Amino acid sequence: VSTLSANLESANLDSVSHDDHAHAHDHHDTSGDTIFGFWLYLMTDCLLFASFFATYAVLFMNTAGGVSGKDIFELDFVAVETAALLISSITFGFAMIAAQGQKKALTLTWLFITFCLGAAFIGMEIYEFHHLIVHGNGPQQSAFLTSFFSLVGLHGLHVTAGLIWMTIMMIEVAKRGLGKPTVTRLSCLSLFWHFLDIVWICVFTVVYLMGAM
Amino acid sequence: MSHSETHALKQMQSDHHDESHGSVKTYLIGFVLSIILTAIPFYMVITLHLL
Repeated sequence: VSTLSANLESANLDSVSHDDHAHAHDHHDTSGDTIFGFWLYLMTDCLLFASFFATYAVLFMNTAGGVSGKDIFELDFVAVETAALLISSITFGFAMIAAQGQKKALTLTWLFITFCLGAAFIGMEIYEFHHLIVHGNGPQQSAFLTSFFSLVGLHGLHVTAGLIWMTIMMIEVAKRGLGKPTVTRLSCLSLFWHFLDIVWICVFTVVYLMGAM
Repeated sequence: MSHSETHALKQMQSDHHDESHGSVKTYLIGFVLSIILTAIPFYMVITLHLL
């Protein structure tokens, strides 16, 4: 019996070391799995946004005698917000190209520029919300304003989460350089960031442009 | 793994990256298209406002 268990043990160790070995070689495949998993997450997030959009579409006419989109939306302001987000998408693209070329300083520079543009977007959104609430048009005033604050706020929270994630990634890149796991994480954040850009395109079309018409 | 093998592997990986992540040129084309396609509806709604 003891010989058998010793044999089993050595077989186990063997398979473990073999797995480790295989793992080191399959590292590229693993990063592909990670990115595929992140795509799945993004699609579930897409469903979440879809339900918020559907809610907005159902409720936006119900202004309860208060303001409608036409009264409160300022297209010039939204155009600047949109520009900030669109530009931040291409600066993140440049950061990814720099990361793939193993250029650490350049990656950090582009990430920082992207962060600033994202922060400008969030700053403008907070200003807009604050402005609305101060003038008595808070989310509790009507179904329209509730659904407006929910949809735009949900997107804003996602962007805020992206900014926190980006801060963490900048620290990681600065401390550890551009190893394979770090570049995979950057790729996931880049997918997230571009996804939020696309969602914003839908938000400004459905909420602001169609609302101002 | 010999030095030349490592180099070849790196080359393969970087080739793969270029393929799947695009270049500065493709990013710029996408960016310009996104700006144009965004500006058109904005312009349409803003001129509708002025009428």
